[in-house]
Amino acid sequence: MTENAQPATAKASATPRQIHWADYAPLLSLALIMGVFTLLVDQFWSFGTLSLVLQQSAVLAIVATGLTYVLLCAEIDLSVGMVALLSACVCGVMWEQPWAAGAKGTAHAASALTIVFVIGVPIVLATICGWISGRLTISSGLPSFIITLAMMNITLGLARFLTKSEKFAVPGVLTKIGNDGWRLFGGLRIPQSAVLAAVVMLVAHIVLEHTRFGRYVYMTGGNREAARLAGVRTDLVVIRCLAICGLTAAIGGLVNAGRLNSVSLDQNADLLLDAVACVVLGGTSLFGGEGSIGRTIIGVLTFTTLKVGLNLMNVERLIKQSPLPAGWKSQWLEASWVTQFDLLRPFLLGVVLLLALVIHGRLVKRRE
Amino acid sequence: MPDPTPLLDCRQIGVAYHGVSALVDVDFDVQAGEVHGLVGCNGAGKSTLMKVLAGVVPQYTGEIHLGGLPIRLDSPRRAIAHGIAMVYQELSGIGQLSVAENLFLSRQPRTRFGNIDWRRMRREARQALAELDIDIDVSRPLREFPLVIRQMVEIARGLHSGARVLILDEPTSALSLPEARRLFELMRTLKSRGVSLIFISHFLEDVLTVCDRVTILRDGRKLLTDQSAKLNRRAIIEQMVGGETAAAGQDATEVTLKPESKEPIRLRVDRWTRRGCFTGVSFKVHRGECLGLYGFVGAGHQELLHTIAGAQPVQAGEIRIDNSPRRIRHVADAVEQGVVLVGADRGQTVVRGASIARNITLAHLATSVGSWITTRKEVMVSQPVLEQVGCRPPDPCKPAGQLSGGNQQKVVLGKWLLGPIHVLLLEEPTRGMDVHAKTEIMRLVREQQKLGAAVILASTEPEMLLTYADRILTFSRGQVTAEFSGKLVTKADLMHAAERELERHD
Repeated sequence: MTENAQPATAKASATPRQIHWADYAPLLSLALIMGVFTLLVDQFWSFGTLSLVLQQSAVLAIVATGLTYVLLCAEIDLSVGMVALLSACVCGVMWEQPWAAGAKGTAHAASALTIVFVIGVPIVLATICGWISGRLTISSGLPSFIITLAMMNITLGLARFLTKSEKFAVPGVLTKIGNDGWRLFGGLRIPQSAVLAAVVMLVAHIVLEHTRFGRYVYMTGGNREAARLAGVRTDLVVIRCLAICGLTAAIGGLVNAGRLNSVSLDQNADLLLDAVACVVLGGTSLFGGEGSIGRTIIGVLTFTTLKVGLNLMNVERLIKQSPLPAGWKSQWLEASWVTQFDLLRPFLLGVVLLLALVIHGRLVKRRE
Repeated sequence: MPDPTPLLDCRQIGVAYHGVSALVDVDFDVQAGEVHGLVGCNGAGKSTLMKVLAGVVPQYTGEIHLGGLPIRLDSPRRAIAHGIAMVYQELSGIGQLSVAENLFLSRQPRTRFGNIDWRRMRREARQALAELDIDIDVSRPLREFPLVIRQMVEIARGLHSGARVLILDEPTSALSLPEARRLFELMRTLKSRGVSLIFISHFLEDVLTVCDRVTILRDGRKLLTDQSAKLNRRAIIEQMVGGETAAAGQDATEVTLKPESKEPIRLRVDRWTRRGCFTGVSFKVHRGECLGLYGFVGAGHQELLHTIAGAQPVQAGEIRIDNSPRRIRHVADAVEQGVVLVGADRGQTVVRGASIARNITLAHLATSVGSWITTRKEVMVSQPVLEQVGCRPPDPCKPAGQLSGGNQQKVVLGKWLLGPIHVLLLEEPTRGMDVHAKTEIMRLVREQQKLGAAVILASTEPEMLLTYADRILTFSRGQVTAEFSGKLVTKADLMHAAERELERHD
């Protein structure tokens, strides 16, 4: 395929796409947050921090990938956290059955087939949950907001009933994925979970950018009626996106259970809101049609960098090292906002998120 | 004989939008207790005049007197304060609220504690409606009632806010015959109570039945005002259409249609029925023929196109393409059969945020781009299409929303060029476009026609149909009222047929 054979094509691609600040805002806020923590945290730029960010972002990235599909077609899935929990619980409960690994998961060795079964069933189940949410959203004409809110409670209830609020063990392979990694040079450690997340995102990216289904997702979100009038089965697109979201939620939930080496009901409580924050922070529109997996990566990295940075920040040391008058220093070191800084971390996380999102929103508004 | 001092007297009203005159020196008066009909073609200035009275067009020139005193209507609030109320064609009532709440919208009675006095509100609402002989449960939501009741509630709301002049804009166009009769009774009741009504309608029979006097507008000027007893339909239509046969522009006002085509039948529709839109519609279109569908807004001919294209369901009927029965449940089914729709509302046919290339390839992605999609391939596929339809600028990477209306429409049409077009359905394809864009769009349509496509063109503009259609069907209230082919047809003939009543056999 030569350029000469297609002069028209060459002319067209020579026209640059209009570039606007709003397109780069997510990247800039990531850089800004990294910059601020470089100043505030000792040795922030280290392989240790990078490994920590990768480790912490894997589950979030997997869940946010499915959520990106849902947001792209202008819907939302509020059940991701609890669907993740339910699939981990189903996995744990099955694993402790006598036909699998038995009580505490250690009674006897399980065959590879059993392990595949114990991991596969919850994934299929979660996909079905998403599919049901999608079907009901389409057939009832209600917003997915309401349907998935109900689905959230249904899955939470099922998880409670299955586990009877007890702790369960998970297959060793999940523990490995959740905790092991490959040590590279200079203390850099690539967690297996991060590699899994990368694979999930890569597949999701290829589907979104290079297949018909991916294109239909964008067009359905951009203008559902126009897509429908062009012959796109927009109802099926929405149902499939919600099913995909269930699928990734299950993978995320299983990896998270592996990371924590067990399943219990207190897991994944923040997962939904964190994942939504990541997707939106990356610049994907809540109103559909605009966004990408690449943006979600940026969003996830921004969010985890912020979280890790806040955790690494040592306020007392910062005050001691600062060139402030000694009187102020001793006074501040006694103050409650320093001694109980741990309790303030969610507050700071919220404030920074809010700032970033409001600035993005205003930039997008200015472009239009 | 007209009263020497009319209740509402408009003198030499003029309105210009951006230097283009919409109304010129119109004198218009309404007596107390009179029903005054206002008729004219699309764009004659009826709605502009009514907007002046409703206070929506504050930049008008001329004088308005109410009860002998000069007034200035520079805001809707002012108009309502003077007792002029408007009942719009698209009802403004809020369906979720109860009838009583709608009647008292923004003026709910309060108790002495400042909260809404529901009991008093319901009682007064019941009284207000009883005075108009409407007996309904006022605590039920408005949306549960048929259109005619909703219109009556709207009228009652106007009266209750102290209106002396009520303006009714096309109130009967979506009503069945008995419903329309009920509305006329109400109008007579109001008249006997001294309320003045201005009645705007395309349905001249209705106008002549219910009005005392009729004013005819054409091209922003008043032609005449006369007692309705002295007028008849033919005379009114002749006046509305006027001697503009030789008028400027390419739009025909009379044309000799072709006899029905001898080509094989491409599309045949039998007893096609969609509840609330149209009933038992049957027709056929031949290869290479352009069938025009004419009717007023709400006549059902536009919804008809949507159902044929699979975008809306029908309750009954059969469809045959090239003489074999087909089932179309989704737009995708229709597209596969080569039945494609170009809709009127580009907000519903163009994905504005997506690139032009993505809009072009959307419908035939599999066959044109294949299963591995890249921007490069898409650009290569859409570039020749853009050149074929003459889109300006022909840049496939630009967001479609940045194009002008005419060019967006070319993109919508261009999208179908990537697949077979057997039946091309056009709903007001050139609405809001300049002459140049209009000709270009219709040139593309003609090309498809020459290639054997059957074209169905639905419009509310008679000129459009007289210019482009080979054969014309007229619609009124969901039914075909006449078919024109093989003889001389004028704009007046079409309008006659479109406002004609078919007596229902029920």
